[in-house]
Amino acid sequence: MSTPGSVLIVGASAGGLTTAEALRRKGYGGRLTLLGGERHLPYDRPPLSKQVLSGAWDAGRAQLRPEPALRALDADLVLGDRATGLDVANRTVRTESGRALGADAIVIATGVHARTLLVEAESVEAQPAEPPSGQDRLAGVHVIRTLDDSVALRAELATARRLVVVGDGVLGAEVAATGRGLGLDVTLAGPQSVPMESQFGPWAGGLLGDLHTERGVRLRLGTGVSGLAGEAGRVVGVVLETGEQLPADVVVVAIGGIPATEWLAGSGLAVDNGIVCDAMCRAAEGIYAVGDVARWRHLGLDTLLRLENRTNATEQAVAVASNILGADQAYVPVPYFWTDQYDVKVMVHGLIPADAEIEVVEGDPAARRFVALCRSGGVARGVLGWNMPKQTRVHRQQVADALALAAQMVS
Amino acid sequence: MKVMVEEDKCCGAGTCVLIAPEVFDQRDEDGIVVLLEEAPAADQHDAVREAVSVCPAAAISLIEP
Amino acid sequence: MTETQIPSFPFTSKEALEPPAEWAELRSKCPVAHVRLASGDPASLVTRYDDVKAILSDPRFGRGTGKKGAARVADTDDGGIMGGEMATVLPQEGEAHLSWRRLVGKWFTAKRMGALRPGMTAMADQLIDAMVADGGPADLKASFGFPLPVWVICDMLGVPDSDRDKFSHWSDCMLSMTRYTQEEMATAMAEFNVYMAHHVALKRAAPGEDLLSELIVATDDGGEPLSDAVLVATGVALLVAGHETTANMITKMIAMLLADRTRWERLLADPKLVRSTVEEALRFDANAGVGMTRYIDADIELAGVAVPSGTTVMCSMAAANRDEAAFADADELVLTRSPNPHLAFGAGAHSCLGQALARTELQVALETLLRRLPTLELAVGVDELERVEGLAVGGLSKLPVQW
Repeated sequence: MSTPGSVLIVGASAGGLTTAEALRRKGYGGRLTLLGGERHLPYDRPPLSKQVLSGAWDAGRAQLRPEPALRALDADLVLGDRATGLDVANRTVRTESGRALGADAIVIATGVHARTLLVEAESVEAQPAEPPSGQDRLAGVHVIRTLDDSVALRAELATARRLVVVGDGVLGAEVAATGRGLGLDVTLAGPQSVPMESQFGPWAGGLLGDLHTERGVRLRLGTGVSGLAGEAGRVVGVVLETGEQLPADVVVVAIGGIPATEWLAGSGLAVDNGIVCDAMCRAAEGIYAVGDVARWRHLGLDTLLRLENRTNATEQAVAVASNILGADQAYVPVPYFWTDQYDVKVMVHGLIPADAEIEVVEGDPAARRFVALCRSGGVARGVLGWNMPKQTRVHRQQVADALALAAQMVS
Repeated sequence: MKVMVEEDKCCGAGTCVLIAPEVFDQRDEDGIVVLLEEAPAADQHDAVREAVSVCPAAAISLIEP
Repeated sequence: MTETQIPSFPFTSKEALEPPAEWAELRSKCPVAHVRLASGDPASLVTRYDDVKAILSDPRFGRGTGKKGAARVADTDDGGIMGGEMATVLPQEGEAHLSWRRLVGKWFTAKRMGALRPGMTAMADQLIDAMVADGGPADLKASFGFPLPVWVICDMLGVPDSDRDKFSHWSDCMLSMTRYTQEEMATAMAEFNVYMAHHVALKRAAPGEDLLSELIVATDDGGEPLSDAVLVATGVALLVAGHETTANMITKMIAMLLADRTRWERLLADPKLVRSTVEEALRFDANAGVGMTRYIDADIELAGVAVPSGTTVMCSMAAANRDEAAFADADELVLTRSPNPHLAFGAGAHSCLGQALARTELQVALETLLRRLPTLELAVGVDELERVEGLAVGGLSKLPVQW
């Protein structure tokens, strides 16, 4: 395949920006366009539930690159204009404002939308009889996906007393921790038995639950949310499936993301919980996907995988940039994410199966500083580090080796 | 080439160390980046550029004339 | 003398535009006065024109920052912008200071300032357009006085128009001691440093016609080019020294002229008075900030009073500018006053490096407002004007106007 004369990247967050940077770094001299739906210059999302939400950082500090570095990229930055349609055959993207942007290669990095409670209620067919619990209708109910979301929530938390976080994943747990840091009365509700169970497994999830309890967060786990209680258009509480009502001045709904693929309807691209791609992250000839929105075949795990984490966005971007320039290489990363809650930093390399055998290989869980190797079927699947970042990275190699070996066997 | 790191942004992932171990290290106690070489040698430049681009906290910047 | 008898400095006056009564009293009765600064440290306050000028011009004495026994202006005066990183990167004294000053000072020539005028006037017009479009009454400080100097600084640094708001924000964060937390100040500083480092690199690759591009290719007295650290610190210095000070002075000048509207009308009738009016406003300013300190490390005599080595002298330029011994009708605002050897920019080796720039900005601001908004007037009574609380730079918190 010859090098494309122009590349259009749809999505101007970490994945999109890194794709552009990687293309330039690898010597790409053609025309580069970066289309972003938000009006902000490319910014980073992990701080939105932490430093930006707590007010420790001004919103500007979340900007990914200073303006001069963006200028040096020599790309057309089209911001505040959302993609509304894709013509695969002609490789043209239509936008909300009526633009039609064509390119020889297109990279889709549109990320995810925050899932809202109404959608959740519909999907589990558990609509409460009354009253309607849609969060869109009540003031004081927030999601966090964008910088504007985070800034708006920060403003509300300044005068709130009781915060209820719906969702026991990474984002929910981080928001609960930030809320406690701001001195709020915080309750964390979710369906798992311990927070972040699906990412940490039951053992480390239990440690995290203990941490939140110690820091004064009330946990209401193992139960779904049946609705929101409102008065005069403003939320006053969260109703659990157990019937318990949690009083709230502000509610944060952090129940995951929905791939931002609605604009691809009718395009002919295979969309199934993300854009379905081959091992090269290619959705169609000349069309690639990067980041949260991409569901590609991970040869090491031999499955279609979609990762919603920050490092995947950039690593996949680098891989896609190489493939656009003809490398034709499978993307086989070691999944990785980290979370900061209170003064604790937990990192996970690989994936931790629910039934993993846990071996503490460094430090001591009682001292709240350790590295645990998680095996299943005798194979290293994941490494979890608790307040030992450097040592955790050192043990990552075992997971990387196992994945590389598996990938070789598949291909 | 001049490398700058912002410690208050660093998330301790160690991505930079994996890519350019001669230029970056991490502190033992909290994993925060340690810049070993502010002006890396030419054979390190490609690796450093990649480290800057994939740093998950956008904590590294590069000043290239 | 017991501690309670030592007056606290700075003094405050009842009316925002009037000088405190203590100035005249000390000038006549106690030219070297014991005072206590906001930090709690003692100092000797000097208020007479001749004494202030003599101390500031004396090359033996510097600020003495960090010297054992030197008084601090405020108790936060330790790691802040004034005494912090910038002070360690930019040479503050001696030959190195003179070399840096010569290099940057070369740029502030009258000819250069003349060349900047049309651009400045266009910016002033643009700000007035926006203010008029929003409708009156407006706060002239927020809409005009505050943004204009930062736009000018951006221009000098070759920063694109689209980044002006950012600079405005950073400058505000870095300078304001009260509105922002330490953490916000630190992140603003960090963001600014990263921006400037990249910006300097871009300018090195593609120089423009701005001050920064010129400094990049220039060499100091030793034939060495300026390091990136010094170039970035120069950018910080321009903001620190040139933004809030000029913004406040524009605002105060307009307030003084509108407080007695016959002054404004006289200027409308005779716009040639703009130049002398700017100088007189600088002299007449009763809210010029705390003043300049000098650490005296020799036994000297001042106004017949012995000043022992180890004394911190606080020079009140604003009090000196009202000295009847130096200015006839010192308490009158005389639009035609000439000559006008006021000390608003200090004197000697540390006198304001950017005074030609500040004068040009003040002249452009006044000319443009006279031309565009001849009906300009205060939207509140003079007695309703409020001072900004804070030590470093004196000013009004707002200037409500209508037209």
